[in-house]
Amino acid sequence: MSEKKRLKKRGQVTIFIIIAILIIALGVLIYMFYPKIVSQMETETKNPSTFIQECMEETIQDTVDIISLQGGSYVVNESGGRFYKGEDEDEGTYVRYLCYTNEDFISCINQEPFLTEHIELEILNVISLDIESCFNSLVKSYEDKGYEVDLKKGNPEVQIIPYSISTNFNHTLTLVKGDSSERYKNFEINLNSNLYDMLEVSKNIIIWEINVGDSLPEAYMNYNPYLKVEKHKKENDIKVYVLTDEKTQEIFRFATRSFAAPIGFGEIIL
Amino acid sequence: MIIFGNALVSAVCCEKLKNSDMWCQSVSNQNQCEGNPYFIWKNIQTCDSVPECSGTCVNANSGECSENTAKTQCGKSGGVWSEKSPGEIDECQEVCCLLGQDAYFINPTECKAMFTQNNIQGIIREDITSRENCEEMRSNLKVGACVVSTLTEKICNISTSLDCTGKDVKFYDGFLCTASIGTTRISDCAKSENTICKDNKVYYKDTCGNIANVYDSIKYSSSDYWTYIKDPYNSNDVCTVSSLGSKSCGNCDPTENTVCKDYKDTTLSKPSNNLGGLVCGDLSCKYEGKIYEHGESWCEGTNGTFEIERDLTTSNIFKSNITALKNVNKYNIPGSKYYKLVCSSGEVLVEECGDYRNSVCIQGKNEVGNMEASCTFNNWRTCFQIDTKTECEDPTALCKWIPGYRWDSQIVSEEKRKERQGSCSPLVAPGFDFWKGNSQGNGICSMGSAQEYAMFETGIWSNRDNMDEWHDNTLANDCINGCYALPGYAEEFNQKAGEEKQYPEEINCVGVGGQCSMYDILTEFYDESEFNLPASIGSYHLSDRRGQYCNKDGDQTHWLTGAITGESYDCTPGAGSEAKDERKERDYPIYLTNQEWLNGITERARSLGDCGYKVSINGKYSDPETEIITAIFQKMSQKGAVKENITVEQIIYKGGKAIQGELYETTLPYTTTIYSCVSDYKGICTSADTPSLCEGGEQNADATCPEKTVCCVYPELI
Repeated sequence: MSEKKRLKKRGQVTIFIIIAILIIALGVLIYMFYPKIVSQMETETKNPSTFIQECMEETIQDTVDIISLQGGSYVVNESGGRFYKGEDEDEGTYVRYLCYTNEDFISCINQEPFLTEHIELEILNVISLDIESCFNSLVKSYEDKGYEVDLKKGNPEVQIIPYSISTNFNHTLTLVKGDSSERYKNFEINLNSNLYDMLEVSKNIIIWEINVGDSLPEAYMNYNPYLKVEKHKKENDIKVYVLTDEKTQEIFRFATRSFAAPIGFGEIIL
Repeated sequence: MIIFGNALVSAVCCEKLKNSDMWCQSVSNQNQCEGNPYFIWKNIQTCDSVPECSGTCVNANSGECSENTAKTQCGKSGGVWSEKSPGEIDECQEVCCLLGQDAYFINPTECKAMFTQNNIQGIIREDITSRENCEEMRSNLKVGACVVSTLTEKICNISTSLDCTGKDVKFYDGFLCTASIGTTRISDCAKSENTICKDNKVYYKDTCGNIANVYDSIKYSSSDYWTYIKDPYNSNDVCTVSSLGSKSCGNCDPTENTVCKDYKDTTLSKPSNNLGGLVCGDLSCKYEGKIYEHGESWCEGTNGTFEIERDLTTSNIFKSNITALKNVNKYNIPGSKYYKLVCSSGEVLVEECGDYRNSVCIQGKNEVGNMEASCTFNNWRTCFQIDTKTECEDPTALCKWIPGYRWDSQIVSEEKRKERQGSCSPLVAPGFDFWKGNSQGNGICSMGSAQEYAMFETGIWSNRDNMDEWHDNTLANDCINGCYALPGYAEEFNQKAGEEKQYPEEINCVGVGGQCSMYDILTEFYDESEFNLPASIGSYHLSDRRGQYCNKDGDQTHWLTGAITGESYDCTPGAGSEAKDERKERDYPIYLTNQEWLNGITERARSLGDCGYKVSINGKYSDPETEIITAIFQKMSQKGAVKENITVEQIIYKGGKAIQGELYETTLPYTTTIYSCVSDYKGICTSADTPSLCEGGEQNADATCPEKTVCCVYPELI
């Protein structure tokens, strides 16, 4: 083989190597940025409602899940709850006392009079920043596409209703491009949920705890066979109730302490 | 003195705890409370006594009424607070709310909110005042096919007559949308094999998507079944399902163990005339070889607990169960805990009945033969407040009567013995945190301690320095009082296993046999002067001192002295009327044998809780020292004073069995009462040289005897 031929062949090998490196680099780049690329491509075809749905749905669901596991509050500290870890949980959480007294032989004090409304507000408070952020992204995405965007912000509200958790953002979006304009009012996300039923049962359990100091979980089974009500007695007569909807796999849990019996006679006066 | 019940002395009630969302909680220090603007109530016992902590909070928007709510918290939640209970507040009263085909028993505000929410103009029936009557209204509502006719179609849906109004709208009361009148179909809807789950039942759906009657594979071809609405709760035309489930009938009922399910999730095969594949699957659970229905609950027989059963109608615990529970060595032992199990949709849920056996599982069979269990509060604390056998043995209470000592240490007269001489004790011994040094249990267990004085009447020739030298029966024979505390006393008359104490008024024995046990014979013997034992008194481990059985005429505190021989004693030897005999008979002792005393005091102590010598669930016994009987021997003068300041002590029982412990001397660690000769024994002071004569003598101002005289306790000797 002549020197020229050999050099030519070496040049070809180098080119192949460079091409291979470029292909690999392109692959890595696609791998790294693919979701964004896909997302950007999708944004162009997405309507504003879908955009908000996709931006907020997971946040709302995660918030509901956390609040539900903690007795209806997003933040529960040691003094306001009992630590509880379910069998399948890696880490437990503090579960809020919805009815509690630290005294013995007396009825508990209701710690959250309007539980459903409280949870609705709690969800709203937690997601409010995300709402802001999602709508800002929505506006920006349309501005980037050359739209003139007008967003009128209303007061978002969350409603826990039978079979659903409804979040209505009450915002109105107007998109103008050239001569055409579009108006979007229906920014609403409905999560399939039986939390409403679970809260109704929880409130009933609390009424029993206030009046009798205990409850009969099986009383609710005939009403809804798919609602599992577990009562876990803990130290010092603290109870943790765990309600599981077998259909949606939702869990709501809360703690109580009522008509507690001490060890022995309680305080002894000699 | 122990004050029963909760005597927590809480000085402060915080309206709101500091750095917490907790409302109305008691604390020991007001620094734990959130300050201004929140209230701090001082010098009160509990928050329970603060009116602002326990009112009703009414939600003006939803009508929800929340009881036992703190005033300020109610305001913060947007509610209106009232000191009254929900039952006293008009807004919280429930009315019958008719909404479409449904009827709800809720408060008026909630009802109106539902009208708005569903955009339906419903009806509020304030005249219906019970939930049952309101729910009955559902069946009274006229429901039928509502057909809207146009030129091209007849649209139909199922509704109430109230909701079916308008032009070209016709209501067919009680008809389905698939109905035909004559040969004319009332709508375009036709029957279909489509099925749906609703209210836990399987329903057919017509081609328009309306819910028709309950799925019944046989009646699919029945025109009647597709014409008229059949009430699944009240109609004989609707099929029924057994608790095992069904693939041909969709009338499932969770109260009867069935629910609408996909047939693939059951053991049933594919149903016919049923495209949805929905069937009535059973919800039962299999547990340790037994089948339990959905909602059925039962008690788990864990180590150291008893599966207590009661009659659910009367709540009475079965007598055999009460008898079994009295076995303090087998049941309710340290570490034992009650559990309730519940069958829930095929899964067995476990419910702990609480620590320290403050709650126990009690089960029973309901009218359909299913088990129903509940974790029942073990109100063992109230047992101590009951002082009669009848009240104590109430079959609904978890208490038991142990004859013998009373909690107040009183000894009642003979005629009240059966009803009042005993201790009402917990039937289910509670648990304590005995592993802690300052356990509550220490104080409670000490209530089971008893102290008994056994007194002997000996002659001057008896060796009173060493009672060990007394021959076998002497200890018992020479005893004059508190004899049942002596090891082996009246052992020939011991009760047999399971034999209950009988009282003189309950038995009429002339000899052993028939209904009369040896214990019954001894009861008669103690109760009745001149009653003959089978053999001479001295041959038994029984007192042969007359003073054990007889007292001075009409004076229970003043006993006769001297020995008796033969098979009986006679309190009026020679002559004397029956009335005088009665007056001279001492009340029989509260325990007749040492075995009865030992059993009584050990059962009483062990029933108090994790007390005494017991095995725990891990098979280990408690320290034998927890149950000990120590005999202290003191030589006393006839005055009742300790003659020498040296006491001989011996452990005679430890950890459930009699032992012969070492005798050792100890300087009086115990407080010994010096009895006054005159006031306590109604004796006289007599010459120390001739005490048996008990001649009269002077006494000191403090009612003790002067020097060289002794107290003659038994003036009967004269």
